[in-house]
Amino acid sequence: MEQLELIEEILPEDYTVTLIRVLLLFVIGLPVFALLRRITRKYITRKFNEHYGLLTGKVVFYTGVIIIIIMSMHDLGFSLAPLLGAAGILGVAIGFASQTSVSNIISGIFLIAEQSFVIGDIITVGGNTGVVLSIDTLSVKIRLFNNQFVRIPNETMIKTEVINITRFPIRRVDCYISVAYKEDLIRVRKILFDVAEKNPIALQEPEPLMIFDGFGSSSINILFVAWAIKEDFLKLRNTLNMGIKQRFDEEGIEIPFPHVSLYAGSATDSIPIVMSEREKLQND
Amino acid sequence: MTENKWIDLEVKDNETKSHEIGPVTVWLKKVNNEIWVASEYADDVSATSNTPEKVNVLEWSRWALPGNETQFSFRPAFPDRPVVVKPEYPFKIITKAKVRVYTRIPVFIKVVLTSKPDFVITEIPTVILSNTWFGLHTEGELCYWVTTSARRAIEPSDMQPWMAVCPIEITNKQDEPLDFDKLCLRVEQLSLYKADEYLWADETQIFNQGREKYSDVQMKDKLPKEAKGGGLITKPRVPIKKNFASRSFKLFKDIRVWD
Repeated sequence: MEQLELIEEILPEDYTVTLIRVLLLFVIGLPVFALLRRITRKYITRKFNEHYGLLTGKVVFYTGVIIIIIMSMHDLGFSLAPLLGAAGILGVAIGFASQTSVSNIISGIFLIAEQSFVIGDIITVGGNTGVVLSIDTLSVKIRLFNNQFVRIPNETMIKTEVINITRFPIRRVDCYISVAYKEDLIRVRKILFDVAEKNPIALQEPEPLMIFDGFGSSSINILFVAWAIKEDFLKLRNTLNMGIKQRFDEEGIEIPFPHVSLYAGSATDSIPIVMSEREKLQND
Repeated sequence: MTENKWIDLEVKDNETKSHEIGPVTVWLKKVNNEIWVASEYADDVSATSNTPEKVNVLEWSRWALPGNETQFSFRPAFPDRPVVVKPEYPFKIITKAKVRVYTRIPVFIKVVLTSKPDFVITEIPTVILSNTWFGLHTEGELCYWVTTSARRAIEPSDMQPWMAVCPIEITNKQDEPLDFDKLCLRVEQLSLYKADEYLWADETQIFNQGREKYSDVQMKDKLPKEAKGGGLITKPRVPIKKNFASRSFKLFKDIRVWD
């Protein structure tokens, strides 16, 4: 009670009413605009996409906040004209000081307009691969697959090469395979296609493909590719490679490890090998 | 006359029963107020012999039931996605020609409550079908893949109780021969009929308008003439659009597989 009496002494009665009105403006206004933000976001997301929904929601909410602040200041008796004048001068000063931020905002507008990626896409930027969480005014937020959070400034996103992994509905799985020189490549090809055909995740169209990759130092290198819908990409990569290994083992096709053959030169015979008594005993 | 595969099965508490439909055996086990379902394919290398211990190694899925239900039914249904049909030996249809071909599609088994046939517990394919993509690399739709003989006449020896015979009539209206090397059959819009324990789909009529144009597709929505005396057993998954334009023939010449 003593505290209330103290406030009454300090503040005139009409000023207390104004304060209550300002307080009510914030208490009622902020939840109302938060609700409006949620409704707008849901509607726009359903109508267009999640990114536009998020952006429109933010515009609605922050416009509301600015309106509440202006109304409150007006109620409290602040004249807006000198404030706006001061804001203009301050704006120039801030503008010079925040060139990077302005650049990020403009880059953000370009990113949104270009739509190279949207929220939920999986992208690779500068060696980082993750899911796009949001495209904000200043930066793009990404969640990496090890659950780390990465914030990349919009300006960097504009200047950097971005790979959108989930843009298209199907993806190609590349299997790099090595087989021994003694193997019949026609038989290898038949086995690879059979493995892909029997894998229900692998798409029959676009057809799998075997590409001769070159004569390696220890093996013949082959690139075998098959397609899957983007959701099944990892599943196919695992099952296809495991299936190939299993079939190669069953069919006796050698996947060679790097090895070196030693020759003593054309003038000499093969390098003689002498077995010790212990090795002889072990072999027996 | 073949044995009826689409039967009702009574499974009491703590009882396990199995039913074989083509290459798949479906197992049902009643535990308290749950029905446990498992399936095993004949060509599965991990398949074990039909011993009492087998039930312990099956991969069961559990389903809570609305009441103490003991009667379950097996009903056929078409696959839940379109099927791309590839004839083993592609053939050409000359200008203005009309052909009728028959293709066999392995059906799915719907396990339903006998008292509430709309209450689908689960669906099990009789054959695990491969996936394929129908369309371009940038857009298209996921389909199942079936290789068929695309018979011009259907013989009783070709019939199987777990394969639905789909009569397709193709009219080539374009000014050049039509390569029938792949066809996207929208089975989710087809009904299933049963005649003499064999399954039939209603007839699909395709009018090919040309390479760059969509084909007119008509679902007849009635028992095909070959299945005399049969009756409707399963309605289409999606409502039939009696006449619609669709890209039915695959033009993969336009698509570069290797980029």
